[in-house]
Amino acid sequence: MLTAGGPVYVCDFEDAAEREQWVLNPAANAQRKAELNNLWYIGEPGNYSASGHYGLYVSADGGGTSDYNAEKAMWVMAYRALTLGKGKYNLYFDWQALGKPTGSDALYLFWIPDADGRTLNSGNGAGLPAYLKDYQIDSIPLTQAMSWQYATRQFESDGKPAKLVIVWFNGAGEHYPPSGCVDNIEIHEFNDCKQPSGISHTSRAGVVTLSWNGSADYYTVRSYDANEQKWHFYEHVTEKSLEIHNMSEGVQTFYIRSHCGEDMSAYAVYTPFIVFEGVRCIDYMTLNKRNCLTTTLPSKTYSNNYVDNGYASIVSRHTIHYMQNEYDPRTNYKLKTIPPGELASVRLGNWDINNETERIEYKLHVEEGESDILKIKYAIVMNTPAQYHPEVQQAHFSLDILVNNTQLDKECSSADFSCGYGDMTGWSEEIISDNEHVLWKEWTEISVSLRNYIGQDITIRLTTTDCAQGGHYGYAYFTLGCESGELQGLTCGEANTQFTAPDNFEYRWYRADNPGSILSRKQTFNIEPTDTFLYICDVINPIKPSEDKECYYQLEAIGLPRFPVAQAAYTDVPVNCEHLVTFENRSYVRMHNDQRSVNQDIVTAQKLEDFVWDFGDGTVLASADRYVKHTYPTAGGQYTVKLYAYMGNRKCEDSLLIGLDLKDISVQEYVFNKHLCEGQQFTYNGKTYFNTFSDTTHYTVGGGCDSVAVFNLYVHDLQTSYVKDTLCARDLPYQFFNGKETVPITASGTYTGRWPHRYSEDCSCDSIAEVEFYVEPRLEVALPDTAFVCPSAGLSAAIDVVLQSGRMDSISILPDAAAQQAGLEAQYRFAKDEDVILPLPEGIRAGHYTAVVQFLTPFCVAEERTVVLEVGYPVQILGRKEGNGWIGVLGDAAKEYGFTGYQWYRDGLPVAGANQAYIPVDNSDAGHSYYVSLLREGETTGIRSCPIVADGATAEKVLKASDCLNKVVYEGCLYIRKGERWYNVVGQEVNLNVLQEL
Amino acid sequence: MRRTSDIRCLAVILVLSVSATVAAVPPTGHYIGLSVAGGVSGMQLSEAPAVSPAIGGAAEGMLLYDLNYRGFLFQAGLGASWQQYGLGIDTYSDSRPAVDITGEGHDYVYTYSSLRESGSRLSGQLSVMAGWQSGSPFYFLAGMRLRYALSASYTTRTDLQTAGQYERWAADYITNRPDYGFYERSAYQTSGRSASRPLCIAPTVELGASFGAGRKTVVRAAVYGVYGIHAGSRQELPLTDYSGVDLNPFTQSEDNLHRTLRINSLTDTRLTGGYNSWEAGIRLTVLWNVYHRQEHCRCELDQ
Repeated sequence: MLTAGGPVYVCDFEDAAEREQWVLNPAANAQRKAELNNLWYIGEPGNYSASGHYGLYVSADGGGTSDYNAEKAMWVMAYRALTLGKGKYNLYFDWQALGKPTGSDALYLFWIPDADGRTLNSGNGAGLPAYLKDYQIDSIPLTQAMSWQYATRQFESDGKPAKLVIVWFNGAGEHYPPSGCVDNIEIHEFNDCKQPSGISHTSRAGVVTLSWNGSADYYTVRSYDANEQKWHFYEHVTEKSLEIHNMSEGVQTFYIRSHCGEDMSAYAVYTPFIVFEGVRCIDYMTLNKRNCLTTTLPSKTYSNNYVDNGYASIVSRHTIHYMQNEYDPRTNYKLKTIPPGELASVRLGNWDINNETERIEYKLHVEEGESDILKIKYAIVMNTPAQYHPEVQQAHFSLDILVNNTQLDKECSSADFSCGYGDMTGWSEEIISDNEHVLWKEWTEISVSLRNYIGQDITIRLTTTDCAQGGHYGYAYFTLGCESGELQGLTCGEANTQFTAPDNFEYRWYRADNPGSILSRKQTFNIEPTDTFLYICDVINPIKPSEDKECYYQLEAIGLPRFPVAQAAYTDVPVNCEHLVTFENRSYVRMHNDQRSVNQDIVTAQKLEDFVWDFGDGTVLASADRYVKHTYPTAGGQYTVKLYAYMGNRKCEDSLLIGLDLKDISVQEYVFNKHLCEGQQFTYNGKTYFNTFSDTTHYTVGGGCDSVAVFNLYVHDLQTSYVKDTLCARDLPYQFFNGKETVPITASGTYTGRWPHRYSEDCSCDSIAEVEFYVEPRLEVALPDTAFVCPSAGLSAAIDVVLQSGRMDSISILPDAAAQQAGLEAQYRFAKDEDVILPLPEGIRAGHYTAVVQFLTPFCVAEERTVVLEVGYPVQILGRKEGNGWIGVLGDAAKEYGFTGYQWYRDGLPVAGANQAYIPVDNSDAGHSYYVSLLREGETTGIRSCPIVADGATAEKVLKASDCLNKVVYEGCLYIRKGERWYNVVGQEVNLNVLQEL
Repeated sequence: MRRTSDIRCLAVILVLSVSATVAAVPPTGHYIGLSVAGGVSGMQLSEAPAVSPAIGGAAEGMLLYDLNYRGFLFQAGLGASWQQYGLGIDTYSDSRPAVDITGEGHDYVYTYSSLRESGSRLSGQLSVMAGWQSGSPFYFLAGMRLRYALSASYTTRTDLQTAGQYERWAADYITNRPDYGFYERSAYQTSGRSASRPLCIAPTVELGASFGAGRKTVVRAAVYGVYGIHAGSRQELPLTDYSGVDLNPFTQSEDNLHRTLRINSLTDTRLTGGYNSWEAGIRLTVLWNVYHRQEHCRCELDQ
């Protein structure tokens, strides 16, 4: 679509009507046209539009592909008739065309006025028609581009009808697709709007930031991610930089166009190789003066020197090859410069000679299970005479692993790759001349164990040297990667029956308790599901330092089922006034052995590699890093973080919930108040103040949050006051400041002081204060723990209260709930001089009743004590045996109360062993008081009876018939009635009817 | 100690048996002889869960007539036997209605503990037995003894405490008030004669070996067992007899109780239910051949 001030012609071939305007493959006649092997088409193979489907392209297979037929030389035309105003024009378009490396396979553009009457026909032939040369827009053919390019051209119109002609020419011979393709044609009136210049970029994971120079009003940026085959468009960019997200690594093409008023420039094209640092265990494509070194043989002293003039330059000694279809010319284009599956490779060395030696050193912190195996893919190209040099004089590519610039185990921490060791596996030879050969080794992958360096920082040193005699070069391509040195393919949740050791090693499997018996030398080892033995695998480096020397490490394998256990901890540190929470992933693998009776779960040192963090704010992150950081807002809040730990392709899962309660760390105001009395002074920030003053200071405190500090100085007028205060003795000891010194007060009394003026809490200042300080004596009351009450008519409980010291206003007695339930009131109040006698309810059951006794004081907190009212059993439950034989509990009372235990007391003292229902007494006990403490079912504390006094009466030994119906003395003999029968004193039943009458 | 004695007895039997293997088989004939035996004895009680028996000693002696006819043995004897036994009750209570010195009615309770009775019985006995011995020194005899008790005596020792049980008082028992007739626990002993079930029919078995010298004298050593089935009139006396005790509350005394309290033999009370006796031991017999039948040799005829 044309706009005012915009291009005068635009064609992206997406508009059907516009496509109709194009004339394709004109020929003199149908027969000539049929003789054309290659024809122009408009379709998908020629498309280079963001969301388009059409482009102009040459095809030999009816439009299926943009490949061409080179059986014979020919040219084929496509043109569009245009009438432009008189003047100069800029022509912009996208194109691609590879063609033979040498030859004239190319695209050509022409502007041919109709007035010249040229007949435009395609045809076969070894060269273009001679007349075309007069109309060529640019003499430079468009060729040798296997990816899309952007072209800018100028031409001039005389204002009359003309044709824009695009010609594809190919010679006979080999065909190198793609053929000519054209899309996105723009024709602009010539203007002075300059293209952006000085385009550069920075990159981090997934993000590329472009920067450029220019003076346009705004810019249009487009980029094509060839790897993802995705376009990015940015219109009306007013800044001279742009951050583009979701980019992938590799060769990327950026197009930036200036807009100057209504004019626009051509796109400035920028095609960098994008690589993100920090996404690999080793940033082996990061080359700089710090890690690149060179020297010249025979010197072994290397100096930091980074030599990179681009991968195509012979000068470059440390460079990156990133063109995916590039082949090494010195191997007759047989060696790809990038191994399959890799983004790019590093070339160390060049094809220049003169004893050059190059070196790159990479730093690596070796993590167990993550980077304890170093994977190296390498290819070597070395120049050699037909008669090979001795081994030591050949070009070399070597690897050394160092810790603190020292090789700990030289034999197992270095490797030398050259063809001089007799093993020519993987090596090929190109004969350049009779005495000039090139030996090259196809891409080879090896693994090197770094297990001996776990947890350490190591240096990986790669070195290439030319041949020692100075006449032959040697260089190497390589990529580096890491992988776990642990067993692979372990499952979870069930017994492991198959163990796979890391790739590219030799292996030796055996049982830990029988190392002499080798069970397998394969990479994979199988066991039965019930096997719980511990197996060892020696993982052996295939490159052996010598016949007798092996470099290997050991792996342990056990078939027990494994389970993930999610564990984590976190720390919260304010950064930039936000909560930067660092989570430490402490998850581990648990093994389970159900053949054990105890300790079935075994914590292992194996690491998990599949984790998902849900930070509770909508952010979800899959990361196996030990430390994961996440930022929460300044206002804080409560978040529930979930950590999911997976194993076995997420067959097993464990999760952990972490509750975060982050406080608000936003701007805070701190107020500092200082009070002075009149006449005093205060120095603040170097200045002395006598009057009320306020100052506000803004600070940036820890964590990057702002805070405001307000300092207020208050100067108060002097006043005179008298202070009288009272303290309770229970709060002693007290440190009393009498104006001069602090005096410890430990006893009741009155203390006085004289204070200088000082600030007081009511915002006033004393001038001179007389202080009287009175310590109220402690209330001391004698109160029995238990008050015994003997039930009787008008029942009441007297509590003997004796005031010993202190002042008391009144006494309040607060029976507890059980006592209230038994009939006592909730509170009894007595004046301080009143006898404390509690009226008790009639029929109150014997028992212990608790009450709180409060002694209310005029100033201090009431003193509280607890008293137990023991309501005893009535004396009627006891009896004295006639004749003073014993004192006992009567049977009827025992039945009524259900006594289960007895303890007798004589004159208030317990009688040892007297724990039956009676206690024997005799005349010697006359006048002594007895009572019994009685236990009932379910009770643990006995309740005493009211006392009874032994009377010392003499037993009546002669009975009278009238004493009791149960016994009678008849005619000098004693008879007893039991029930309806009578017995004599020897227990024999007698039949005395006369006794019945009595 | 008893175990050691048993082992010694078995050893004697073994020695005698081994000796017998080399002795001659007694010849056929009529014999008279004398036997003595000793061992252990005891009571077997039925329906007497409170009474526990103890083992005592046993001995007997008899004059014998013995017939040995081609291996068939017949033996008749007349003699005497002596058996000892022991019986015991852990706790036994007895009560009676009574009044105390104040005239208050109550149950007067006697509580006996650790009551132990030991007794012995001397019987005359008649024995008839038959058996077999052929081709080897070993023989057996089985038969019956008929015994009649000529004398049966016993002695009982026990602890006794008396107490009062009153309805008026909550106490279960009033004890240790001698003035009320309630005496402390003390030891009592009483002896007497038992007249219960004097007749005893006793199946008997005897297993042994013969050895000795020549055809005139035969010596037998054997183990034997007797199971006595007692019969005859049964005394159903109360265990305790207070008929002689002063029960008047004004005059009764502990000394009087010690002197007058009588305890009958358990074998004369219902407490033992039915009872039988058993004994086992070793018997030694000496026989003299008084008539030897001539054996006619028919060897030539047989040939």
